[in-house]
Amino acid sequence: MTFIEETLEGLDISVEYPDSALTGIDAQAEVSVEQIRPLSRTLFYAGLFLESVSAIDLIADEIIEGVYLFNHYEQHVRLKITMKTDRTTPKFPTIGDIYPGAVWHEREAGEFFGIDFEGSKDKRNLLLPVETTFHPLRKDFKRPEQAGKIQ
Amino acid sequence: MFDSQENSTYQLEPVEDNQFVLNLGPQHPGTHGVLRVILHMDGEYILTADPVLGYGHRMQEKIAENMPYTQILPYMARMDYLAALSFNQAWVCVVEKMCGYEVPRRAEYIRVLTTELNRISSHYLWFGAFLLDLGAFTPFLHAFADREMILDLLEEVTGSRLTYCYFRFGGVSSDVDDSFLQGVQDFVEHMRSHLKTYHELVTGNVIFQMRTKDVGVILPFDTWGYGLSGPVLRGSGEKYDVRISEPYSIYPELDFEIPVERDGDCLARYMVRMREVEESLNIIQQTLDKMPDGPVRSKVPKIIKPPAGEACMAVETPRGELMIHVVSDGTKVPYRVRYRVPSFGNLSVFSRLAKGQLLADALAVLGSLDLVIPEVDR
Amino acid sequence: MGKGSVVPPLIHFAQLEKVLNHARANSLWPLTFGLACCAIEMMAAAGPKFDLDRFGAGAFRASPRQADVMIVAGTVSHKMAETVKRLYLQMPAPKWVIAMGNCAISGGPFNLDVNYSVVEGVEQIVPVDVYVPGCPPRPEALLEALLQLEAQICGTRRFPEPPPAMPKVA
Repeated sequence: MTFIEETLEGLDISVEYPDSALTGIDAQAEVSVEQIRPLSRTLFYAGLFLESVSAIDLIADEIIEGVYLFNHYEQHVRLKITMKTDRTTPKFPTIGDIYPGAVWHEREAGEFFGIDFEGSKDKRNLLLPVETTFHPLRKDFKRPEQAGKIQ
Repeated sequence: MFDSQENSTYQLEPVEDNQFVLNLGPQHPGTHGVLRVILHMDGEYILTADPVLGYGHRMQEKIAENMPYTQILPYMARMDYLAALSFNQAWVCVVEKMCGYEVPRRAEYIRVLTTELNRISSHYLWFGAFLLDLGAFTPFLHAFADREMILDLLEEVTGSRLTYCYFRFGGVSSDVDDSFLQGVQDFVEHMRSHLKTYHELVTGNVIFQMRTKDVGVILPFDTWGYGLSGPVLRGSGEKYDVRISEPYSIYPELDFEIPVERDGDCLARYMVRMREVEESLNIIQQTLDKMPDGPVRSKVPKIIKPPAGEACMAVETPRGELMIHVVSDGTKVPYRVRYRVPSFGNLSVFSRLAKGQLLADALAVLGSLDLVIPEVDR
Repeated sequence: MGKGSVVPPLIHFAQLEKVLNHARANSLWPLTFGLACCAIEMMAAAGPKFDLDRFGAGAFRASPRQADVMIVAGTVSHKMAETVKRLYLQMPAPKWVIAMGNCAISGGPFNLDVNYSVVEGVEQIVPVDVYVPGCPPRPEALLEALLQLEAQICGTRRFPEPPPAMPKVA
């Protein structure tokens, strides 16, 4: 039984094992939006650290895919968790109260993709100015007219 | 235990008599760039610290979605300008992984040799800047004099002083010659003897010890919650180094130690980095001894089109684990590139560390985290 | 005198001004103001090998109120622009600005179709006296920029002109 199987036992998540020499990912799973909080709590107590919380804008399917990457300091397994949300009103539950380091990642994904991390106490922009209204990493993003210029 | 959100959310509210709000940065010599920290102070003590990022945001992830794979390479050097070669390596390795390009052995040795030189120069700059933060000026001069020797060597092969773009898909851009290898050998010998001066000058210094010992202690519990990596993590007793855990290039063939300290304070992080310099010298010596002959660049297509799919590649930069996640749709432009930069996680723990500290100690903590702000902001 | 003076003096003391300008030109105090990569080369210029102190410009001040040269070393983002302007206004006149590196000059490698964050040229915010191209410029280039600034301020150049890097094509 591998470390990942042991950790995820009893969570009803089907895990795939891609070729890690080719992709660098040891295990991956797609979960539903409800599963991410219990899952990340399990991962936290198993000692996995959070590498990144991010998203991919799949504009052709009208979907935004959240990508969570976890790793372990001693077991060295990179676990990729994905989940899908609607592109018009993207919403994910926060894991910022489980992984304190996730707060900044969620703020960043929130401003770049317009994702609402429900339950997060801190939804301010992280990198962009406070007054920014556009979401630059969306595929239909166009350069704002005033970019690069100062009035 | 889970009060981090409370830490990082700072609200302007009426403060009590002896409490005030202090704005640190974005122009402040102690923040090493354009970091801004809003501090809620009670006298000299910090109640909450809220870092404000983004003053150096340079759209790296958006640029990567709009550039061919080859043209992204120069931008990697601008992301973390102190460890340009580590970032170069991460990018060329992830593309090589996706396309299955072979790298000649001599090129791998040159890559490791130059990356480790770059690591030493980065640690020296940190050494100088950290001690400037603590009020010592002379170590800065020592560190920069030695750093210039590395820059001269690297300039000889890469052509630039700071923002190197030396690696290519399937090798390196040009071969090294014997005068360079001899220069590196001389440097290693010089540095082995000169490191003693560093330790005599700084490590044993009573003031330095008092400023750093038991200051900014990272508890083991925080390490994985905040996703720490690099010397910041290894200063807290976790033996995690990508060069060992996910071996890439020729690191499995080399014999080197991973320095670990248990205390988790600023002094531990300092000691880890100084011991890493010694280990890097060991690695360089081994690559010099084993340097094979042969070509330095394999043949790769002019236009790079990785097959549709994704790949993750992690490398160990001087600041910690850099992970690049590339999603390709089979065209010559990546569909999505995600940079997981080490300083991002290392800085996020700052608001927890600063709580309850004296202001002067918080700046020592900030210095000991070894931040490169354009890398955090990307 | 360069663009440094914001308000022209009410009464001119021609000879005295000349003396003062020589004093100003030979003790330029830069503002410690690193934005990105170029800041490291600025530090290297102040370091032991290049030693900015030889030209009287090594006294880096952390407070804009004590500085008279602002070296804009790095990329200016929209979020940062307001701060850059405020720092410039906080400096006492006469004051000068050196735009160091391609990012400060024009946005450099970030002057792209997708740009949403980088200000394309710091001269939109503050008046620039000397431009130093390079990504990043070498410390020697920064030294030359300071020498040119000195020449702008007091009218005489301290050192002979450097030979042209590339022979001129007829």
